[in-house]
This record gives sequence, structure tokens and C-alpha cells, in this order.
Amino acid sequence: MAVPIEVEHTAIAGLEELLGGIRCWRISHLIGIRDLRHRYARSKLGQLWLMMSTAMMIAAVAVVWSLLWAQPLHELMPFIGVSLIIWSYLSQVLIDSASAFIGQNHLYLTQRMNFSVSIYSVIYKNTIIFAHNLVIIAVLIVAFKVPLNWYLIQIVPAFALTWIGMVSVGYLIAMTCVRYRDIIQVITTWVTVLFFITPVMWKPEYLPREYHLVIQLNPLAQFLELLRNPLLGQPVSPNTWLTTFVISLGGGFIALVLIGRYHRRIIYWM
Amino acid sequence: MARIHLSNVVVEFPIINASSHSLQLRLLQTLGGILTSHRKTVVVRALDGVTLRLMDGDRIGVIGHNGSGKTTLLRVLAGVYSPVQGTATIEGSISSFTDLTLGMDPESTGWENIIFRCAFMGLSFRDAQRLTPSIAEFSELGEYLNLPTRTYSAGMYLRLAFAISTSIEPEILIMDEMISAGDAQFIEKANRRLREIVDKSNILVLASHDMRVIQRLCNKVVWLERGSIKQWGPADCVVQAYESSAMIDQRADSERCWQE
Repeated sequence: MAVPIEVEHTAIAGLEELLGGIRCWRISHLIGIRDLRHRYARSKLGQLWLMMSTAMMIAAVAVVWSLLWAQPLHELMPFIGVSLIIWSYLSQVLIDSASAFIGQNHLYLTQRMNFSVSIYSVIYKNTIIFAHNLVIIAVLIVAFKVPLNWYLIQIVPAFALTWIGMVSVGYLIAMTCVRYRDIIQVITTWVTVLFFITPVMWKPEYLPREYHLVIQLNPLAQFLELLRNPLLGQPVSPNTWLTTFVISLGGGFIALVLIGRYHRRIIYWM
Repeated sequence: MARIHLSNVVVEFPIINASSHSLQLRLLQTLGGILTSHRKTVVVRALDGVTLRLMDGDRIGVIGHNGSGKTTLLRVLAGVYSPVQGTATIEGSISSFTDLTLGMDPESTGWENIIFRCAFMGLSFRDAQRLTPSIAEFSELGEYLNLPTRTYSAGMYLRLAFAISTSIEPEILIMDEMISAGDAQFIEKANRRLREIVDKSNILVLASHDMRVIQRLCNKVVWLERGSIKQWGPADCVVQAYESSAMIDQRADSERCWQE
């Protein structure tokens, strides 16, 4: 199938915009770090608050759920723990992307800058938070004797796919939110709703077979499984590989075309 | 070598208010609701067919009333706005002195802010480190650099921002109104540094309401009115025309007052 030349040109323009942002990595780094520091500025424990609140949340939810559903805690706890940490990583990137450009409008109005800088800083910041939470995951793995095996290797391509997906979806969300400010609320609401229909607090096998479409058609559920299974020593299903691959690369190409077409207009919507 | 070439540049802003920002309305429109009368977005033409050719050695003053398009023109030159029609070719490193504190963070120390601001100006961390001692010395902040900048007075903060922003020598220098910093004795030093940078830059673009500053620093002047170039030529000549037209406006205003 031949791609029309015009589409190809806009896709290349989109790619240039994304690569231009990488060249300004120092600014993404500084904005990301600053966001983190501001949240805990002048607090004694700093980043530790982040981990402590996550750890307590996991402990509380896992205990209550295992009692409610009469499930063994040593199975449910690592599952819920790892799922919650990955979920908050994925969902926070979506929520932060919504206001990524709007929050930095002063920067973009003052000097020429690639908009992708903001997207990278959002992903960077949340990846640092995720990295902190890896400590909790490690504790869960050791405490509940989760088998560590070669399936862990899958985490490398899994992260590559996730990041490609985050850049393209994040950029599209940020761009849409500058133009249509209502979408910011839509995103926040939808993320909350999706939380309940995504297997974060419950295992997919609890769901009756006929409802499994809810998981298969839910992109967040697919990315959740993609990152979670390697950490829990389980294989990622071929179906999930396929879905996430199509979303990241197909979505990525669509994003390139749209970015190439509209990135010069964003500044006028500020 | 620096070069700026604007050819028939048009910049238009869609006026996006709550109604056109809202997706709900958009959906209603496509569904054929009765709200279709809202469909037209109002567009403001901020620059209308501006053509400029600037070369090495040009010192350009931009004058005009409020809302005549001065800031928009500076932003086109800085590469912030890309023209809706026409082309803008800008070659050379640009420093825009429209916000000297861009990238600085009140929660961080003076030392950290030197690195931050330098990075936002496009320097590598190593280059920023290299420039740090001279910036610190110029700012005269001494021990205060160890403190978070939120503890600084406004004057001290600006002094630091000035010291950092003027530590590199850009080829194209863009300023919206003349910048100055700090108390009387610092001002003199700052002005000297500023003059040095202006002299070393290949192209200077300065928008100002102060005709004396324009006449002192610029050799050519663009007079903008309603987004178009009303006059473009040697500084003295255009400034004179601008001032006499302002005087006529004033007289017309006062006459109108008397009539009422």
C-alpha cells in the first residue's frame, strides 16, 4: 500500500518535531525534576512520602480484598501491588499530558521550542516516580516469593512499546486539550472510570468469560498486562503483544501525521 | 553571519473563547443544531503583509502604538509564531530578552539557577559550569548564591537573571523595551555590559515606546500601525514622522474635547 506523498511529508515534519525535542533534553529534564521537587519542597521525607503512601494503599487494598473475596493474600498482594504502581504510572502520564502544553505556555510564547519537550518531561517525571516505586515491587517479590525468571526480559520491549505509545498519545492529548479545554475534564473522568473496568484491583480470571471483551478492547488493560506480567514472572500473551504493538506503532504513525500537520498551530491556541 | 528575511508575513489569531474551546458546541454544530450561527471564529490579523530584510549590522527599532503588532513581530522574529501566510527565514543564534528569568526556579539556590537559566538558553551543562564563576562575580551576590532565590529581593533576583542572560553573545538580539537591573551603581555596570552585547550582536531588534532609546541604539526604524509597516527607514527620519503624527493625534483629540 503506497502512502500518499503529502502524508509522508507531514509525517516527516512530525518526526522532526519529536526529534527536535530530544535535542532539548536538558529542558525536559529540568522541568521534570522541578515538578517533582516542588511537590515535596521543604518537606523532610521528600520522595519517601510518595513511596509510603503507595505502600500503605497497596497493603490496605490487598488485605481488604483478600478478606472480601476469600483469596489468599500471598497471591493477591503482589498482583494488586504491581498493578496499582503500573496503573498510576500509565494514568498519571495521561492526566499530566492533558495540561502539558497549557502549563508551559509562558515558555513557548517567549522562545522557540519544540512542544515535545513538555511531553518528554511528563514521561520523564512519571518514570522517575515509577523507578522509586520499584523498591516496593522488589519488596513484594521477595516477601511473597514471586518467581523471578526469564520472562523478566520481556520488560525491555514492553517498556519500548509503552514509551512510544506514551509519546504519541500524550502529544495528541496535549494538543487536543490546548484547542478544546473541555477535554482536560473528559480525560480525568475517563481515567477514573477506566480504573474500575481495568484489572487493577481484580484479576482477569475473576471476570466471567463473556465479559473478557472489556479487557481486550481496553488499551490501558493491555498495556497494564504488558508491563505487569514480566514483573510477576509470567509470560505476556501473544494477544497483548499484538494489541500493544498495533496501538503503539499504528497510533504512533497517526500521531506523526497529526503532529506534523498541526504543531505550528498550537502556539496560536494558547 | 546572521540574516532575517520576512516576506509578506501574515499572522492571524483565532479568538478562541469558551464557546469555540468547547467540544460540546462543536458536536452540536456537526449534528446540525441551531447553534450554527456561532460557527465562525473571529480572527484577528495581528500582522498583515510585513516584509523586512535585515542584514549584519542592522540595529532595528520597532515603534508604534499599543496593539500595533510590535510584540507579535518580535515573536515572529524569535521563531515563536510561524506565519499563516508568507515566509520567515531567520538565520543565526537568537537571544530573546523578553523574559530574563525564563527557566529560573524560586525554590532553588542561586548557583542552581545559573545552570537552569543557561540550559534554557540552550547551553550544555558543561558550558554553564564554565560560565558560572564569571556570572557569580558579575551578579555581586556573593554568599546569597547559596540561598534559595525565593529569599532574594526583587532587585537581587533581577540582578542574577540579568547576569546570566547577558553572559552569552547571541547573533540576533531581541528586546521588548530596554532592560535594566538593580540599584544605581549596578545599573551603570549593567548598561555597560548591555552595550557590549548589543555592539557584538550582528542584528539588534528593539521594540520601545522611548524614542530617545530608539534613536540612541538603532540605525533603522520600523513603524507599525495596525499590523502593517507604515514607515521603514533611517531612525531619525521615521521617529520624527512618528512623533509629529502623534502630536497631530493629540491636537485632534484635544480639539474634539473642546467641541464637546
